[in-house]
Amino acid sequence: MVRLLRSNILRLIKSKSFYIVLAIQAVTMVFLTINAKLATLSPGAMGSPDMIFKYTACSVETAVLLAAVCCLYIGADYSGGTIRNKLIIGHTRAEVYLANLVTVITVALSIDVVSMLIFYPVTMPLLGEFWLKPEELASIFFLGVLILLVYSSIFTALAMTVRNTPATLIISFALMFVMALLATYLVSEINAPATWVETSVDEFGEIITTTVPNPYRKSEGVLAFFKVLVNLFPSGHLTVLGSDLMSKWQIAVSSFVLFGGFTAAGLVIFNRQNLK
Amino acid sequence: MEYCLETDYLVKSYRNFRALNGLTMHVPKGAIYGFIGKNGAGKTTLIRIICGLQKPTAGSYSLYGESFDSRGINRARQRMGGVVETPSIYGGMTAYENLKQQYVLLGKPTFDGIDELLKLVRLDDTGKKKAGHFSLGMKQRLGIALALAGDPDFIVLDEPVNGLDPQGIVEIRELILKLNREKNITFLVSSHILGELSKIATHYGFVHKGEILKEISAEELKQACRKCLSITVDNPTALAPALDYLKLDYRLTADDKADIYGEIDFSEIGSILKLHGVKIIHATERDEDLEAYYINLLGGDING
Repeated sequence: MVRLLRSNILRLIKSKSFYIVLAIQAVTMVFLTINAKLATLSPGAMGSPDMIFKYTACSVETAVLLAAVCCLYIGADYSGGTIRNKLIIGHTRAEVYLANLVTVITVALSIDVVSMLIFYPVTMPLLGEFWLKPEELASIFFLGVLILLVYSSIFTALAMTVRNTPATLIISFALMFVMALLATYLVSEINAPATWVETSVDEFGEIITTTVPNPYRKSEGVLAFFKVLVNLFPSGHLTVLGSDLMSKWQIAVSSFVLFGGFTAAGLVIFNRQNLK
Repeated sequence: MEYCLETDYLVKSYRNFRALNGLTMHVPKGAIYGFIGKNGAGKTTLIRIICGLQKPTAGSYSLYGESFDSRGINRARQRMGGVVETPSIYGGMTAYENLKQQYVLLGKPTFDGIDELLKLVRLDDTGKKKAGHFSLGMKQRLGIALALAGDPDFIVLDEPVNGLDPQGIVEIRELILKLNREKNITFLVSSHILGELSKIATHYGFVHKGEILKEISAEELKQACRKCLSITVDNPTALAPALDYLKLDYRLTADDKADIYGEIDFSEIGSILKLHGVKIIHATERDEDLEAYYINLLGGDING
């Protein structure tokens, strides 16, 4: 597998799409920093680099970039037929799959490195000190990287089993979109307040406020189910990262399970496929 | 006799279609094995299976004595190279970079030998040109160079001259003969272009509907091919009835032409055909060619 990895990395560093993606990430980080800084110029507004720090580990945008590189990189092996060269000379399917997975993870971590290279010299001087404690920041970063690894396993599984670059790109982007929407919906439902304040005016013109149960809040059973759902996909983890909605251990364990599950599923399907 | 490849009743089914139907073949070491069959006979399916791209539904095969489901099969595959259907190349890389990739995959410690390989396949002057801009013949030669990168002693070529111009065909043919002669590389070459194969093959395997009809060496084929009298006549409409009347083994090659097989007395044939109103304009005597042998093997069922 070392040979496969060497070959993959050699090809990756010659790949234009890899550098384009890194450049996009760098520009995105600068854009977010400038945007956040401009927001602090409003009277009374205060800024901190905490929210942008989360982006250095993982974001929806990072995942989309990763999907693009993964599809194009692995897709080239199928469109050119070069995956045949690897199998004909005796590399096993598992080796080919895992080498590709490691390469995709390398791309993911490279995106994070570029983010850091912008964050520390640009974002921090502009936005000042962190508000969160160092241990919280470290856990956010570590969990963010884990979530990015789960995305890597999903996109690798898709690219290795669908085997058609345009189809894989469409499916990956559609999946990202659906997962992001679903995560936003589920978390907003979970975070819906249990009660809200209703105001009314009595016969004397006095404003009366009463606290009533939120009629739109879902039942506890449904909310519990929604919490389970949020735990089942990486966009859910990403949305709750840094909040109290889910414990760090839950996110970590779920991420490991998802990573292992998608990798195993991808391996099994790829192993059974008839290649041309 | 030692064999590079042996298959034993190989079967490959795809949903409702059976591509290989109990195919048994033997490729001797050092041979140029011509694997002949029409489109859809199962040639490419067999090649995909022995190259590890697909698994058989039933039956077995072995490479250098290693069974396909043994742990040693991947080690045995390191002794082979192949070009399956189309050359597997990175279009965005030069010929040299493609070979570099292959060397890395093979675990070669240095990149020595790449220049010699490029010279062997006559791609040493391509420079910085990307492989995606190569002509079909150049891509085929690069594919063969990639197959040669691991110093294999068994190379599988799937229809290597498809789409090539005459010069390209000659170049590939010469290359195969040279490598077989100088490096004793065994070749399995599949094709439906019989004329080309007949110029290089030392052994033949005829495949039809997923089964081997016959395996034969070039020498045995030469013995088996019958004498043939090719005639051109002036009365096409009367030719076939006249030959049928004479109960001759023949094949019409055009409206006014026929190949008649067996030991034929030319003057006797000429006289009898004249009585039926058919005059022979031109006649040549030759041996039955590979194409005729193959069609005969199929029982004339070239469209079945």
